[in-house]
Amino acid sequence: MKRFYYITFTLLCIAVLSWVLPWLVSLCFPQSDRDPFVGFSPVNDKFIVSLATETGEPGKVEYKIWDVDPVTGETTTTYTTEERDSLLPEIYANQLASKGLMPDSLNGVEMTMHNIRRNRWMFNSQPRNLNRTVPHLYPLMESMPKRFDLENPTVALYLPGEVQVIDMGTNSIDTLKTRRFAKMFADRGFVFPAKEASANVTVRKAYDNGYLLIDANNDLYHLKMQANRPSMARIDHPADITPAHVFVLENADRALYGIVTTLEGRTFVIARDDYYSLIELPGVVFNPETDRMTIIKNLFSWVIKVNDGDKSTWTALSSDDLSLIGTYSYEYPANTLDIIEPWIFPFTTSFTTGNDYHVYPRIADFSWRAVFLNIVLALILAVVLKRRESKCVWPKLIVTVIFGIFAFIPLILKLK
Amino acid sequence: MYSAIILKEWLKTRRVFFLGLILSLLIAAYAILTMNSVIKTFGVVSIWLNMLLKDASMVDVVTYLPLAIGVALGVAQMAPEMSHKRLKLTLHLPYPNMKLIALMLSTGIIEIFVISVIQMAVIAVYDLTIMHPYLVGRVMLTMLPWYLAGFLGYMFTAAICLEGTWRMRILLALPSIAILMTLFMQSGVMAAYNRMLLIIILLIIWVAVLSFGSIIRFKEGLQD
Repeated sequence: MKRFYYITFTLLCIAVLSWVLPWLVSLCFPQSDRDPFVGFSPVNDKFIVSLATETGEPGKVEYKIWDVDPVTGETTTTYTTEERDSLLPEIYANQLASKGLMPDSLNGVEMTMHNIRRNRWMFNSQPRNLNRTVPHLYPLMESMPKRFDLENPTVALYLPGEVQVIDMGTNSIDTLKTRRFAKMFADRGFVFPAKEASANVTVRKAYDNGYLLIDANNDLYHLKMQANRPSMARIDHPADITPAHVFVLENADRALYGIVTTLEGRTFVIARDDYYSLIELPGVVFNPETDRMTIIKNLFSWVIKVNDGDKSTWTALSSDDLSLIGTYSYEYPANTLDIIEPWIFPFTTSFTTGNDYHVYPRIADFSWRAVFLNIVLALILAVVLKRRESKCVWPKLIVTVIFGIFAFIPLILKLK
Repeated sequence: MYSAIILKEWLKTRRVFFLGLILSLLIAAYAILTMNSVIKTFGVVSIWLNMLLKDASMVDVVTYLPLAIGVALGVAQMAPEMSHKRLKLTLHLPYPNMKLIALMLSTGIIEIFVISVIQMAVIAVYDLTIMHPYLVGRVMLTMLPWYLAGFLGYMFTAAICLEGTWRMRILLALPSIAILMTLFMQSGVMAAYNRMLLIIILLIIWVAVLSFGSIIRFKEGLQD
């Protein structure tokens, strides 16, 4: 039992130190990776990259701005911030308008603020929003409210293996709505359970597009509640894709219902034209479970940024037909922590990551480089244990060679 | 002997037990009154939407109480054993030492379990009147790590109190604090600890070894 006690104590210390020590080291070397802002210029048809860099003075940054040819990837010119504003008139419209520099038209398109705002939207997806214990109760908004303004939902859908519409106010099943929705789900061929349901439940939007759903057969559906009645459509998709995640869009131009990503790594938008047609976003490699995505759509182009943690890739598509214009990638430079950590720690433990909302121990960052330090620590431990005339020297040394500094600290302590 | 040992442990811990129980009921009542107040001001739908869209469990006030009760029970039960070396007398009782420690720990665990279940039941019964059982389940899963932290805090406190040397007490306290921190400081999102619940339960059982080890060390004369 006594040996088991010491083993338990040592293992607890290894577990705790493998979490605490890397965290303390990361505090000593804070990461300050700045992400460049990348837009696609309709003026010179090039990516315009703006990167904020430290000036040396606290809190002050200066911008390094350059262009990148979308086909060759070559940089030809650097720019000032004023020049950049003129090259990206839809993004810096307010700046240009305030100085009276806004062009009347560009590439034959009228550059009024109304036109710019109406054709501009942004979409953002973070892995954390998917990688969490999602509640399978879905608040359902009324898409055609009696009064013009949207109102907070009063009912919620519960889809365990059948449809239940729950009246949240009375905490009871709304039998009439349940009957109507159940019939609609059955008529459209929805197979339970629902794999995913996506909506933007908020009144801070112009209109409500309801839910996009994926059923157990990986089929796509669009569901809305209009005048207390269900409106549901089955969305046909190519046979060679398997929808994995859906995102509802409610943009001012009302051109799209949402975004679909597939298990095959392809990304589509669901267009309102031609009754729910799926249009692929070419050149976009996006896994919403691991990558962050930002789409900035404007009059002339879509710029889609996908960040996989190590690098960001921007893909520019034409707003007219969603054809690929070009891509630009930016890899983050290795920071001090990334260089030092593998030489000190054989592995690290963490309980959370920036990519999900789950808490559980994750052992990662295994490094063979740490074996050099581990051997040095084992030699120091061997000398100390010999002086103390300790028992069980070899197992302790082997543990130190494997677990390094995490085992060295509890073992060097004179436990008696 | 069996019932005499349980009675001895009960006499040591009954005050803390009742204090913990009353405190738990008061905190549960406070959580319920807070929800009632939100319902009267914004309607019951706002509770649902806060839970579904903003991950608000509405019972955050409970968070640290089970841990405090676990630690207090551990101190109330084990500290008297160490004062004036009374543990020596306990260990001289005509009952196997390891079984004796297991019985002592079981008494504390049962008391924490009773307090936790009563508080959870009070909150669950109220929640069931205003929200769907599925949501109530999510609230309970959110609270479960806090209650498990109470058991874990109790186990660590018992091991630390039963340890005979201050040096080892400090060494035991450091990983204990770090492990307990992981149960609270990692996420405020509902049901975020679902994947860790089994690990915490296994850890509670495993950490019991430390109390038995402390006793063996005590018997070997490792005392300040």
